[in-house]
Amino acid sequence: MAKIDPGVNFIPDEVVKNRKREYRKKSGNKGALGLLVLVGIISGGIFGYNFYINQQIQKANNEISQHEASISALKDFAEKGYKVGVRLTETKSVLDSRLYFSKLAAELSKRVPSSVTITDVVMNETGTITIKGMANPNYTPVADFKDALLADSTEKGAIFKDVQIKSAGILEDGTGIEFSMDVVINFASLTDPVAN
Amino acid sequence: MSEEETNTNPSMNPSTATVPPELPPKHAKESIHIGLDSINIKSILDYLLVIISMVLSVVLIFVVAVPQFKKVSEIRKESAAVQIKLETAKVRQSYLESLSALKDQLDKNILVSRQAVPVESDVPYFLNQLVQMARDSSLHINAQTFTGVSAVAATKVVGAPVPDNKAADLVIGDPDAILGTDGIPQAPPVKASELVVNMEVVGRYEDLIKFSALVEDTRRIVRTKTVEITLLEKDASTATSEEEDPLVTEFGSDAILYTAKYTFAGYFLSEIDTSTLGIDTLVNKTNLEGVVARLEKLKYYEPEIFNVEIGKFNPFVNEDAGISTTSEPTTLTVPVEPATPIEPQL
Repeated sequence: MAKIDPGVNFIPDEVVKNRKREYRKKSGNKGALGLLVLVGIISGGIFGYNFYINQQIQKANNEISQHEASISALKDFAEKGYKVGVRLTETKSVLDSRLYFSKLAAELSKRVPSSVTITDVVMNETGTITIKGMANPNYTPVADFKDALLADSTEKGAIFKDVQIKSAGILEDGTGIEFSMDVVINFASLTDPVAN
Repeated sequence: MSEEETNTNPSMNPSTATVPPELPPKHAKESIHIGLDSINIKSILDYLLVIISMVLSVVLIFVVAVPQFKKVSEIRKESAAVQIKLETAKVRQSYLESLSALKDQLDKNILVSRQAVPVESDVPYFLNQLVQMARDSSLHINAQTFTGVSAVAATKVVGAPVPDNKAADLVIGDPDAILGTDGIPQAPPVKASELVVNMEVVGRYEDLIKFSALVEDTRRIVRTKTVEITLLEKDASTATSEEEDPLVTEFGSDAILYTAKYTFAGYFLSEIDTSTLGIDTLVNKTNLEGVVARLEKLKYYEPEIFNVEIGKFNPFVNEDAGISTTSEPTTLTVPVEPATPIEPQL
């Protein structure tokens, strides 16, 4: 009885090899083409993006040129504005830093007791004013004067912050006493314009 | 055919078949060589598409993709910088257009700012202004001395990064602007000069307060540096009568008077040279809104006009110098004729 060998392949080897080779070739071609297309898309994309951005830059530069031309035409106004700005800045710095002595003098007069006579006041920008005066019949009005000056010293915006009696003595004619004091002022409270 | 027959058939069994040796044909070597070449070319041709694709891919990667990719970040930075520049240019143009639209307001602001801090020192006007205020305060002027000009601390003007596009703000150039903006040139320091005047006046205490208030409320900015107020003690030996003491005539014999010694400072600022400044600096500004409005509320003292005749025969003699005050502005006149002979008095 004849037996059939299952390992026998009746398809010629060459045909099988050719098929495999064709398959590999097609796969290779497909892969290579796919890679080429992918690389092409990526390269083109990046190139296109850069091209687009460059176009935008060019467009913006053109606009900038137009604006700069207009700005140059208006440069006179810029110069005028600059000059007035500098001048006003100087003005503002003086306005904001100077002391309003009228306010200080007015406040001082409001706090002097009736029995005290101011004979000498020196005010400057050091932050301390010197007051000399006379009082009668004794030292009590001087103490009252000091208390009046410091009445609101703890409040925000108070003008007088501290008082130091420098000297006090009986007048030669015995009619009263003379005194001198240094008053420390709140600088910031006197840089606002006085409300007359 | 039996199995044995099959196996014994030499034609069916190559291993056992006796193949007569055949001589290589003529040019056999050549034929084999040609065959090998044909195989190589064929193989190459089979994979040509793959090879070309790979080569093109590599070329694209190295010639296009990599260089373009390297440029991306650079171009994006450039684009961002250009966009910022464009926005800045737009804002500046808009700001300058608003300035030009408000030309009258700008001119007015220039006038007010120059009244506050003049371009010229205008010393006579400054002194006259203080005299006017003392008169308005009913004070008696004992003395007035102009002590000179001194420079105050330089103020550095620098650019601020982004100008504010508010049409109402007509001022630029900010000494207090924040530093550190790259690429914006700094303006040279601006110096205002100080005119120092000492003044001694006599009057009532309330009039001294009034005088101080007027000084503070004048448009030409004045800083009171020191005030020394002293009670004026009446000397019985000198103050004999109203005719002899002008203070008694002026204030009455019962008035309590004080002598006040003031030191004032006025300012002037020479015209700023902007020819070397770029537009970046010129359009940078600070918000000084309110300064002009504040100045406009202050009183401006018009210069007093004097009718002055120019020329005199003897400059060392005060022969009624021809100076008279008038309320109406007049032009200067020159009465001296060129042909008039000047003869010295013997």
